Amino acid sequence: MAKNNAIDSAVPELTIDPGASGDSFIQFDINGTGEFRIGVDDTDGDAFIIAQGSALGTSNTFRMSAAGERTMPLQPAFLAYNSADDSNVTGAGTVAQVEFDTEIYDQNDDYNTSTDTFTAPITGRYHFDFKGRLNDVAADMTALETYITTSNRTYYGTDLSAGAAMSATNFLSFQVNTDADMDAADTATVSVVVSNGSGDDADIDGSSTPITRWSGHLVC
Amino acid sequence: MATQNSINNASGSLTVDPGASGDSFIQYNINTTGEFRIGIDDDAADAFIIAQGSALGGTDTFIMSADGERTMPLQPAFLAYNSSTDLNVTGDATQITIKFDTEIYDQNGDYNTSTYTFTAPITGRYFLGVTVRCEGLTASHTSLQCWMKTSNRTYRASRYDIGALRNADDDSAIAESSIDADMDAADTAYFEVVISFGTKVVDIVGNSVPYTRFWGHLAC
Repeated sequence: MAKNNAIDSAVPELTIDPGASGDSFIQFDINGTGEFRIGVDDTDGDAFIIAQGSALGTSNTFRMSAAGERTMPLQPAFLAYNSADDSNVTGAGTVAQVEFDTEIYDQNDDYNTSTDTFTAPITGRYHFDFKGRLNDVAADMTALETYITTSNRTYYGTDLSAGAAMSATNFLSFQVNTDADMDAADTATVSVVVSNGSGDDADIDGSSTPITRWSGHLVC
Repeated sequence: MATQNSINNASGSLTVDPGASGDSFIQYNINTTGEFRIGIDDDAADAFIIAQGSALGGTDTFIMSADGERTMPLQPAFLAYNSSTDLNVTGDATQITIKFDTEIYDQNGDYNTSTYTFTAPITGRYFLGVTVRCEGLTASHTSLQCWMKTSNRTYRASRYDIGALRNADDDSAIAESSIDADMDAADTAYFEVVISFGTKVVDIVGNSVPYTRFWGHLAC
């Protein structure tokens, strides 16, 4: 079939059709510079794509499959975990910033494994989920608080007596999750403080199994 | 450079280009009424935008930055919290609706700070989360139950001996819940808590720090 791009003034429609094969697209330029291209990628299962630049399939920002599944491969989203135990970090009131030194993914490169900090690349609403595990909890550690600190405010999660809640083998899980408003360049970190113990003897567990992990993504 | 809009029958594409500067866009009208405009906003760092009406940068519904970060400023999303402590509200099996009386944000005006209820503006899947901090607990408060109540169904959340596990520093602990929920247009959601087997001395913490908060957004 020959190419069949047409504006039909009889009915309110524009049809773009490359013919037998090829992408069907609209290119948005400014002064000859390719800014975005939207259309159907003939080499990608005929998915509908919004791509930065002048091609589909290279810098895709939005992909809707023909089955209606939407992905956004450059959307800020990360999952990081603590790969090794951090020993004796809290228990007698010391606030410990939780370390997540290994990334599973970091789509927009917004998480820093050295500072254990997420930095918002753009103003928006972000969702965060944190789950951690302590080891070597003692019965006299009768207070635990954990929280996510963002530039705008602090969000608290698990709040209990670590000593009362710990397992028979001195483990305890704790967590925080929230949606948060963040401005561009705002930061977020995770902390835990366990108190009233005779010493800072509690460890934050780490492992290649992501026992202590933190994830987040830009919601809207 | 002169404006260069073209339909290219050699490549099966349409190119829109305003020339040296300005937005590159396609306007969708019905009977001359501007319904939606899609294109590149030259005043917004060349982001790709879907805007309601006849202009980019006015009523934007979808913004894809040149770096692939997608925001949707009108997408239903809210975060509200309890701003002042509600004293002596449960503990004796009194079941209460948690008050989140102050909004941090409410993008689509769907949360009511008087009824503490979220109302779904459109049928879809909504992520909802709650964290509630309770204080004034004693060892006799041996039961916490809480629920996320939506029009379609009730989701049971934390249930445990809250008195036994309370934080010794301020006799505090939390109730929490998170869920992806199916909601029809006009369906509602709110959160209830009951603490039992003690006296009615348990407070629901409220503060400018959002210890007690309710958040949600339209997921898909």
